[in-house]
Amino acid sequence: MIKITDLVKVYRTEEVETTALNSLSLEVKEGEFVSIMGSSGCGKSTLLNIIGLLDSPDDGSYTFGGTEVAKFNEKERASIRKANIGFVFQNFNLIDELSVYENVELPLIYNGVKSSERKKRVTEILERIGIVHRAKHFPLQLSGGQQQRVAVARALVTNPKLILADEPTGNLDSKSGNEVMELLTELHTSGSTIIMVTHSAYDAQFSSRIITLNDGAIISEKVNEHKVDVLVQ
Amino acid sequence: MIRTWIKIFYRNSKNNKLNIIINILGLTLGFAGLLLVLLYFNYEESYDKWNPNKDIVYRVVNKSRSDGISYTAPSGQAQFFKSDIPEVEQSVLIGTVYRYKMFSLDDKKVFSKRIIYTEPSFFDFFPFEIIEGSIVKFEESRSHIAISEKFAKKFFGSERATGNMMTVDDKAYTIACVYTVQGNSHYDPEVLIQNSKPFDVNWGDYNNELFCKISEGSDIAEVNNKMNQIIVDKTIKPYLSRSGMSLAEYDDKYGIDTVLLESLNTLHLHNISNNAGPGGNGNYKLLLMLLGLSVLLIIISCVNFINLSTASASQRAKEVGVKKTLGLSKKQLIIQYVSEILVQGLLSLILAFVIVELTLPYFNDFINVELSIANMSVLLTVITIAFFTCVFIGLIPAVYLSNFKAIEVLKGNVSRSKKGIIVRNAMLLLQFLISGFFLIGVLIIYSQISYMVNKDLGFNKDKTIVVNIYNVEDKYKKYELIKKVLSDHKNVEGISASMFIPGDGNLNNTRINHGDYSFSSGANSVDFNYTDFANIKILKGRALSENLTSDTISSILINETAAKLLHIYDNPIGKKATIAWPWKGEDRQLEIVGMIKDYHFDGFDADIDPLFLIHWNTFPFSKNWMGYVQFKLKGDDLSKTISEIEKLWVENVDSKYPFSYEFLDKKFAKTYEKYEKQQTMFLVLSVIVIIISMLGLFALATLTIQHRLKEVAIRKTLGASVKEIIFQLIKNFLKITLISSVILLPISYLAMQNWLDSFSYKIDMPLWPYVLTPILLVVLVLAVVGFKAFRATKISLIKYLKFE
Repeated sequence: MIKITDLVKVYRTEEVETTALNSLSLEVKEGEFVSIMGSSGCGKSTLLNIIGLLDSPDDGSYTFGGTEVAKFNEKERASIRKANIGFVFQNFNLIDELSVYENVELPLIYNGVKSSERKKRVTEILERIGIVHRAKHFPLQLSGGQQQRVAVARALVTNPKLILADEPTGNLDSKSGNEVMELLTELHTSGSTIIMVTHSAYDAQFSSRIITLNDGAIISEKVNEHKVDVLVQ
Repeated sequence: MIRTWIKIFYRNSKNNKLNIIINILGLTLGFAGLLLVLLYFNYEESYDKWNPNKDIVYRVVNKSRSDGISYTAPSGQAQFFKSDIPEVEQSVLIGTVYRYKMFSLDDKKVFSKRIIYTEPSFFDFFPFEIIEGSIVKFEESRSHIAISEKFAKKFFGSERATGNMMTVDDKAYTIACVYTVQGNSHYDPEVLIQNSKPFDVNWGDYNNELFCKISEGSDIAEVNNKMNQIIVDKTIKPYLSRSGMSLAEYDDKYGIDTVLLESLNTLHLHNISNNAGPGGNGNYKLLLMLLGLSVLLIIISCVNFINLSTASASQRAKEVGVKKTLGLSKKQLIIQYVSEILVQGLLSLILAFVIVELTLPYFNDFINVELSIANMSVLLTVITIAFFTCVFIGLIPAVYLSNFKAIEVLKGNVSRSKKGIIVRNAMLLLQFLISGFFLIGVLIIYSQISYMVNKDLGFNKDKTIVVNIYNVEDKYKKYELIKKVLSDHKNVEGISASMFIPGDGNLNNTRINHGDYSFSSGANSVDFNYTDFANIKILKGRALSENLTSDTISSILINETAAKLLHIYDNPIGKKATIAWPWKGEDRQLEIVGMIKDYHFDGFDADIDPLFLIHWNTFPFSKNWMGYVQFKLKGDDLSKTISEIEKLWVENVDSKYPFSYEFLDKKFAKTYEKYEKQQTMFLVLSVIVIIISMLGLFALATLTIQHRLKEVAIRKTLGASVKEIIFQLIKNFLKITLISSVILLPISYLAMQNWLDSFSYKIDMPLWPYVLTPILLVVLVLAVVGFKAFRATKISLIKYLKFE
């Protein structure tokens, strides 16, 4: 589904030039759940941003679902992004002025889904992640865990081919964090492709593959055999 | 602590240049406007305030059913009010207009246009400061005159003026005293000439203003009643006893005339009669309007101030958090913040003073007044208002800021409070309302003025010059002479003469009656060709004709209004009318030979009065009432033609008085000059108001959009298009614009209808300004906010998703 070859991204300020990604290559197959780990500044967020088409690489190739997208401009990237990718952020990035329902509905509006269909799908997804009773609440009235569930619901509502999660448990206590990871795992088992950036080795265990970055390059790659206890329980 | 405060204030200001500039600019313009208007107000209000008698001197004005309130009073009232009412200590009749005369002393001649004819007791009512000579001397003889210091200088330089003899119209007068007028005054003459003899008792000579001195502490209403009773006793009762009519019947048929008393103290601004007198009247309505507008201007600046400071409060939240943690009390925080505003207010105030000082000469020129900024009481008022305004607009954000909870703020949780947003929206709404009101106002005033400029006046005023014919002997003979001399001049198309001309208003009133109907009508004595010359349409009958002897004896033309009031509109020709010009002891009957179409001889704020025209030969005295000779010119070089006319005029008509002429169209334009000025003032204010509003909107949009950049980033990530994002950002502003438009429409409709109602001849309220203004507002909002919103769509997504 994703094929990245020799990807380069360099950040330049007036004085310093920082290589965020250094000839990085990576392939992610449909249905995989990949964790990206590494210390601060190793390039993992940059990689996620490029995969999520929020940013463009300076060099190298990136094919998404068979289409070369590395040289796409903002408008072209946006059209692929809104149809195929769902985002979950560390700080949730919900819009405070919109209710839970409206937040989740937003990507459907931007994708031109009809109102009756939107209603059906939003309700469906809110039920699925168990937050339907909070539909009329505003983000600030919810706990962190609940907010992140809403963010996940929003990422899922368009049935994206790919879900990108940037430290989804980073702002949550361990109980809420666990809930979110369970949700992601559940999505994975039902067939979603997920790429997650995390600092937490614990969270990484939920995924099927763990990639570790350092100075913009992959230094290790490990396939996770271990199935998480919570699921077994 | 003060040092730190100054440092933080300075650096904050440096970082928020746009806000600070907008704040100071707005307040500066607001204060400058207020100062200017207050100076003007103070000037107009200062009339007669210097006069120690201002509270006991009253002007007596006459109210009648047919003529409204007239500012003149007959001599009968002057005499009987004084002799029969104990509270009336003194009364005096004073001329109603400044007269023009040529003064000569040996070879020296000076022309004065400010002469008042009066009685010896003038100075008991208007005690001008005497510089030379004495009032006693003035009162000694009716051939004694008083002159102003300025006029004395023209003749005598620094030498003594009193005791000298001057000649006016071949009559010699002795200068008894020289005076200066201490301030703005109802009368401010260059020369006071006494009437040659005391007035006889007459109840019909409405030729003077009547002032009465009423003892302090008297019940004015009671005095007024007594005056009304005297009118009934002296003028109506004799008629009743002759005719056998009862007072009630008389009242029913003709209406009983009454008088009203106007205090000298408030006469200038609150004159209730048809004319204020030589001092003119202050335009109180305009003053209030200007005052209101300048207050609106200040409100708009305050709105900007409050909006910008609360919207940018979160930028300073951290500072507040740290200061609170370090032990600063809420009160200290508020004082610090308000002090910052006061510094900005002080700067604005200084700038405002500078602006007013620089623009005052232009303003004086424009309004035709002499204002000076050196007016302590006005300056103090403005300083006080500025101080409280600043404290008020400082307190709101200060309290808002100081209420931030230190811990929350330091953690970075400055949520935008709902209340703050509602207040801001309300403020914005108010601002749009005011801007919209100004826009609509400008558009409607513009429509009305262009209507007045282009309206068919009912007479032709093109290329016509009017020349004053002063007090020369045998005016009409001289006029006939110049008419003859110029008759074959190739660039003079026509010549005519009349007593008064359009634009002067109704200068001569006389009672006209036919059957049971009687009223006071404009009376103009004219040459035969006048209607032809001025292109006044004859609707029925014919114009006056040189070839019919009867037209100099018994013919009269009336206008439509007069015909309607006499109830002979359908068939006026041949009807007899009497006019109250006694001749050989009786009122003469005249035959109506023509009805002319109503034409505007006064401005558009006055209804067209009834009017009649007669040839000046009809009465022996009307021969000398010729006021203006009029020339219709042709060709391109008008000034050459005019100087040729002047040369012939001096040779044939008048070598004594200066040749002074005016173009008729320009003279008439003076009747709507004040409205043109209102238009200009409204336009200037509107531009200022809209600029300030839009600057404020720009700054506010900058701030609110800055707050929403994270949201923009999220929406963009979720796939929102540029259009959708811009719409999101503008939506709220548009909503406010639309709501304010809805509120705006009825308010401005009422206000503008009220303004239009002050015109007798006005446009139907146009609807397009009410459509155009909301559109203009929306366009402005789209332009200002849209620009910022478009820029916002270009932000880097990663930055805001990550770090916000």
